[in-house]
Amino acid sequence: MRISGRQLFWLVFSIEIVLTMLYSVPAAVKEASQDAWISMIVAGIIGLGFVLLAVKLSMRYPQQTFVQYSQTILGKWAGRIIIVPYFIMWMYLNSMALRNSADFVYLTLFTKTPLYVIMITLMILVVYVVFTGGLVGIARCGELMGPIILVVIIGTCLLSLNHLDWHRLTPVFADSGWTGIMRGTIPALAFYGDIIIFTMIYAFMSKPKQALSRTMWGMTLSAVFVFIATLMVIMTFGPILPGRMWAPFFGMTRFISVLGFIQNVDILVVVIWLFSAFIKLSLFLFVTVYGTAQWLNIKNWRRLIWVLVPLILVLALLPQNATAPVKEYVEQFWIPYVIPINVIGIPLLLMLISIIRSKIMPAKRS
Amino acid sequence: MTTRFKRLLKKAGHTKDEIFLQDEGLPDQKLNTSLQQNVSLLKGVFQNCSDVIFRSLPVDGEIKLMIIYVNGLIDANGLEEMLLKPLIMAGYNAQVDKSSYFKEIISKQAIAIRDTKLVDHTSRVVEGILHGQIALLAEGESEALLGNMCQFEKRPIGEPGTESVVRGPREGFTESITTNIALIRRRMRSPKLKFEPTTIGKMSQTQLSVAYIEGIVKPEILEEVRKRLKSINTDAILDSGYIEEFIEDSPHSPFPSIQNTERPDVVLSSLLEGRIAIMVDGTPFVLIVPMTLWSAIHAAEDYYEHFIYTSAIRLLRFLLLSVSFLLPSIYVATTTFHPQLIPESLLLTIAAARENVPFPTVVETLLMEVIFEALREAGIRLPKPVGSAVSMVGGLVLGESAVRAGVVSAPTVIVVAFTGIASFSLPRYNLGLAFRLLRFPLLLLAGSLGIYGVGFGVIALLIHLVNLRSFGIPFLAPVAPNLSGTMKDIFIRMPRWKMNERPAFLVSENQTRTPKGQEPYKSQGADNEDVR
Amino acid sequence: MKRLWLILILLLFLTTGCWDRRELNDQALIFAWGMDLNEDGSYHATAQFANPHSLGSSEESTGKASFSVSGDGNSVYEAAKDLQAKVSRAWFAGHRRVILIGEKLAKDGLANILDEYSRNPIVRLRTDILIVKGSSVEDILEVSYPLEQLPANAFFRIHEAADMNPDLTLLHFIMANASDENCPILPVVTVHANPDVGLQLWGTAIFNKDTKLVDYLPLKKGNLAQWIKGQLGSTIGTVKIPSEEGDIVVEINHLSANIQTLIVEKNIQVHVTLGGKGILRESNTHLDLSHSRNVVMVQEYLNEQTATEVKRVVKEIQKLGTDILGVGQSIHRQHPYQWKGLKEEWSQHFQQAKIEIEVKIDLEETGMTGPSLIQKKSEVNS
Repeated sequence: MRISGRQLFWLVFSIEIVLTMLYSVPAAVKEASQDAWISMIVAGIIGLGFVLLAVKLSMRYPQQTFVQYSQTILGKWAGRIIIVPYFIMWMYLNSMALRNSADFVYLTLFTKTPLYVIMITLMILVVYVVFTGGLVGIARCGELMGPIILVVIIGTCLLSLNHLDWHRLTPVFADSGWTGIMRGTIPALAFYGDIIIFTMIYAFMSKPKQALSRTMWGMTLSAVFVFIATLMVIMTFGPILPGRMWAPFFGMTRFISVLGFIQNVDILVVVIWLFSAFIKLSLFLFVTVYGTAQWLNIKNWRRLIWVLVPLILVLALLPQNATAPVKEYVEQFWIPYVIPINVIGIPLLLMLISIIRSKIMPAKRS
Repeated sequence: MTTRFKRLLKKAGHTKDEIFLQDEGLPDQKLNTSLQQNVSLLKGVFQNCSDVIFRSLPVDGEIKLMIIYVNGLIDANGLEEMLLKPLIMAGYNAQVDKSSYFKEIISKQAIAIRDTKLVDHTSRVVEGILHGQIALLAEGESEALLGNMCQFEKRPIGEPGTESVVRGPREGFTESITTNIALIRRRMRSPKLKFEPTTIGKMSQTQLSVAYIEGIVKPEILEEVRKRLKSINTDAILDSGYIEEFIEDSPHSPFPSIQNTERPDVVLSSLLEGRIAIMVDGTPFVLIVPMTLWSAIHAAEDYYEHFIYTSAIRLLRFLLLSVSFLLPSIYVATTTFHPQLIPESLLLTIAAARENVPFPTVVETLLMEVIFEALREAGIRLPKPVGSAVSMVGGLVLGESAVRAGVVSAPTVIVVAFTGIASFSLPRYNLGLAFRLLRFPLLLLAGSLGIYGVGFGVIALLIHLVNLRSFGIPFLAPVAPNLSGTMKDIFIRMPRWKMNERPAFLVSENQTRTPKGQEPYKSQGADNEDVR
Repeated sequence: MKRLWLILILLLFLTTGCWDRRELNDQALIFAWGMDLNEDGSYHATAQFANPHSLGSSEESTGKASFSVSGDGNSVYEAAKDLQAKVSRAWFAGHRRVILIGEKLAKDGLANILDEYSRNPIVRLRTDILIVKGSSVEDILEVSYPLEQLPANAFFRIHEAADMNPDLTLLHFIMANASDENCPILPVVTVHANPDVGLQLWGTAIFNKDTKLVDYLPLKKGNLAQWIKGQLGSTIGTVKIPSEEGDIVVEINHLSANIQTLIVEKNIQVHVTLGGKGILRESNTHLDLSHSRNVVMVQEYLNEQTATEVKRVVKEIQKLGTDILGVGQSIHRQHPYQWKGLKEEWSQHFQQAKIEIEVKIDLEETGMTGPSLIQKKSEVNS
């Protein structure tokens, strides 16, 4: 299983963009009102910092996945124990991404179809690609769907231009201040934190040297479009409504009208959402299954699919309503625990130990 | 019969492996000097084969020479002129001893036939006769002379039925592999163009030829083709479709992984891109491997027409490909699940048309699709004179009256008709078939889950396509995996002087086919001095 | 094995699927929706449905193109459910583009009914919402309009033809209402006395911060207010030249508005600049408009007279204490820190604000003739 730099780029892009664009904008606007776009720039820069940390750490061991090199750095047992929070994170990411996607589809398209049907059908697709194609299959799907996602996003942005009023961005800074702006970065950062999942992917790069630049580009492109989306949403709905809307970018596409004939193209957004959710879910599932197999020393990683997928489905059905996974869980679990521990803390720790080790025992490292 | 021959074989000390002919139960023993015995052995083999002629030439009432051939497989005029006349006349103008003369002819291969050889096994004789050669056996000679006078009735070269063009060569392959090879060779006078012969089919002994261009083809793909061809073990090959089913990559996939064509120019252009052609005797359809999905929107004419026009047409074909696959399901999904997607005035029209239709939209569309497929199938199978009747009944009675009677709604008929037209516009018939087939499960998905079901189907299809391979080449290459520098001939076509290199993923090494810098000069477009 | 799975999945869809499938001929398409208040304080909802039998191109189309059904309830959705009991098909509101509000309900306040219009994912925020003046909502939905197949379309088409964007009416209303600064406005329609004409865009309704209808502005005045707000595409201005007898009518396009604010010790000074490009459409005077000096003169008078007219309207609005002009918004944008002290009692501040109007219309086109063609040579005043 080898993936190219271009495939990595599209994977990063399609995983980071759509969810962030839809869900982080209202939360950011709520905190920073019309200055949310500044928050998005800051969040993008911090997100690039995440990328730098994840890539630099992985590139110290370009042939190993995160599970493997954590054992190389910390030794067999400590290295294994440190994966426990990651396993929790993977399972959480998988089930919540599944729940989010299903909720979105349910809310936009259905009223009577049971939620579990949407979840199961999504999972069928995900298992299909992970089982038959593995990472290569996911990467190729990403390569096909990524450009489509990009084109649809650009298209919806262009078609929404006629309702924009840049006056709605003013006054800059006065209403929110630094605290508001910084608080506005958190929701986007919560999504950008997903990038840590790629520490499991870099080991499959055919040219590991491309890892940094391609991930950076993918992240930058996502951050730029999230920024544009935030700008456009504020310029369309003003500083107050987006914070109260459930997915204002989606709401904005509902105002598109081309020649009075092409209207209500929000379904297009649902379709790219579906593409993005599919890529995201399958990459998460692959990382979870493959990482768990490496963690528990199981040879045939594909077999774990049949164990983990039912678990993920059950976990995804646990939240009682649609807002909990996008709001409360993020606020109470993801931001206070996962971001500082999994995304920043442990990688930094590993990095430090690895650097110290290589300084102390330069001869031993090959 | 067979047991007798087996016993004979055992007696002669031959094991089964040594038999040249794969067909079991044929005698294989050395010819002996007695013509009588040889002939009776061969007559035993060709018992009840009325097309095998035994022509004897007696000397003094005793048969000294026997000519054996298959009637209709050899050149009858040539036989008379070249063989019979000289042999019969030989005794009259010179005082030769005819019986020794016959022997001499055979041992010295002294007859005026371009391709002769001496064989000493019955099996070889039998094989030769069946391949359209003439066998000469003489009294007192333990070898037989085989002379190639193969000639049989064949169709003249005509325009290919499945791939017609407006501009471009109009020759198509015929059923004769010799003619077909000649058609290719005539366009490519390079010794690097190779035709590797093989024979497949225990009974049919069908000739195959693997064509490739040395230095362009990737050796590992060629080796893979040889390996797969070698492993075929069957009794008869009647069409290249037989071969295709044995060597394709994903037998359960509706998508073909092997392209077929009737056009020598298509074969040659594929060979120049590093592909391999498998030619089969007895069919005008030549197989080309490896195949990618994008050949579905490429027609031979694309390379003969202007590149701007071609690029536009390719985009249109891509659109039609999506239409043929998606349109009915999108129609069903939007009308029954998401009417808010349809513009208001159009929705009112559809609603008004649907008002009295008794079926649900899914069933209605499925029904019309089935009827359409039935009409298409009937159109192919029916004898030509009846064809117009079918189209009249199908088009007028079914379409017009069904709408008038309110059994189906007019928008459905429009959708199904457009889908049908779109599916016929694809240059590759077998790929069109795959998409036509997959339309039905997608329709069911659309009918149960709406646009989400369509999305589900499309993603599932993409996963399937991404996993497909054709002789080691990913089916969606060079789009996924994306191979840079090879996109000049996929969705659009660059002008000839821009396509400098062969597709890198197919050829052995990245080779230049057209050196750079051949763009027509701007000054070439300037007015002539005199005209100014 | 693999194919068995596939068949199983397909069977799953077919046997248990189709939850949300609903045929077009099992749905009643709503194109307009009306809300009014009953005597007892409950809501009265009216929906206008398209009649599919009379639409489309089929020859046997019969009957009226639409019909209306009403229902009562204590909330929008309750009234809608009550209405459903009178309709043989499930109603579908995905194509609802017009909401009509009765005068009584508007005076009572819209806050309680607007939530449904933005919450339900099927219905669209891109909706035109109009106040019905002088007749009940139920009656106005019965009016058949000759030009449109569905009378529902007449409402927003009329609104659109007045060069406003009907798609954004509801959004602008909600945005203004959610903000600290603005008061919302809505267009007003009435039933025209002539039954053949049917409908008439009457003017603009002004709401206060509690979404209660405060007052109406007739069409011309309402247009001027919307010009200041920047939501109008074009309007006309009539110029009276003192030295002449007749009028000159100018069509004004590319309307623009710029509000500059100044706060001097709690005194708010507002300077509104209105711009536009004028095209002279009609001249009943003796002026020779091929002379640019005459054109400049007309332009000056136009600016002056429009400014006084606007000033009168602004005074009227100021008296009501409802900032529908976006003055507060401009202060917020231009003096964000001072705004924090003003926003609590903005209504009073708005009433006391000193608003100056300056109109800068460029009269660029005078049409195909210089002096009027129908006048005698002696009459033309160069």
